[in-house]
Amino acid sequence: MGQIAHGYLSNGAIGYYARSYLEISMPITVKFFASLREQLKSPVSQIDSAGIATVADVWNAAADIPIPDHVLCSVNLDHCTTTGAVKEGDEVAFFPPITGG
Amino acid sequence: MPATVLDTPFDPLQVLHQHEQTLDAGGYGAAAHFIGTMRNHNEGVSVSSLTLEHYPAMTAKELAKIIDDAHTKWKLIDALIVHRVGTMTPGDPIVLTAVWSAHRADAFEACRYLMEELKSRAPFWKKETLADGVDRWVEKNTSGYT
Repeated sequence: MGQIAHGYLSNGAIGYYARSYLEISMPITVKFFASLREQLKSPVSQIDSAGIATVADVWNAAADIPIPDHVLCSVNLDHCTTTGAVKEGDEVAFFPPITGG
Repeated sequence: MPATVLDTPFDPLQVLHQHEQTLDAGGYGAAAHFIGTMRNHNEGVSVSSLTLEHYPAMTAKELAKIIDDAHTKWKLIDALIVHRVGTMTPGDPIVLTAVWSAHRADAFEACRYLMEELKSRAPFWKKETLADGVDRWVEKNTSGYT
């Protein structure tokens, strides 16, 4: 088993595909809700993760208006702030103040 | 019982009755519940219908966390939350929170906690249709249990 693994790793073609795989990043999913969604003319639902570090970066890449003062946000279904960290494959949501109940 | 989000009308008293059939009748000494219903007016104007939008995956997660948090803070036998989404008319139940415990203090406080926390943490949004046909989002929120 160990020899087989070594053989694959020493194969140039396999090595090429491994590098290509590592360079493919998962997109970031973006969601907007309620009145916030209605304010946007053309919201984007997926963005490339390249250059994205925070929730505010996601807004700037996906929304066509400046980020509102009282916007709420989440990353992977957990509340966060606009300075929260974002990585590839995350789901980021923006929404107005909550009014359930 | 996990939290439930419904897109059709529900009868809170029937939900309570059915749920209590699953509990040990002698095991609790206090049951507290809160039922929120749709008003036909808000901020001085008549409202003819209300539509509740939510973020389903996050709503499920937050409501479950709120119930877990309540169990951590108080000695509870059981707790439940039922919340409507979709369009409803005045008088329709919007939300039910209920708690069963040995004593009333835990039941009262935990029931209020469930309600106040869901109003500040669970991602639901209300849109009212006024009597003149105009739609408006409800913007006021609350700061949670204090």
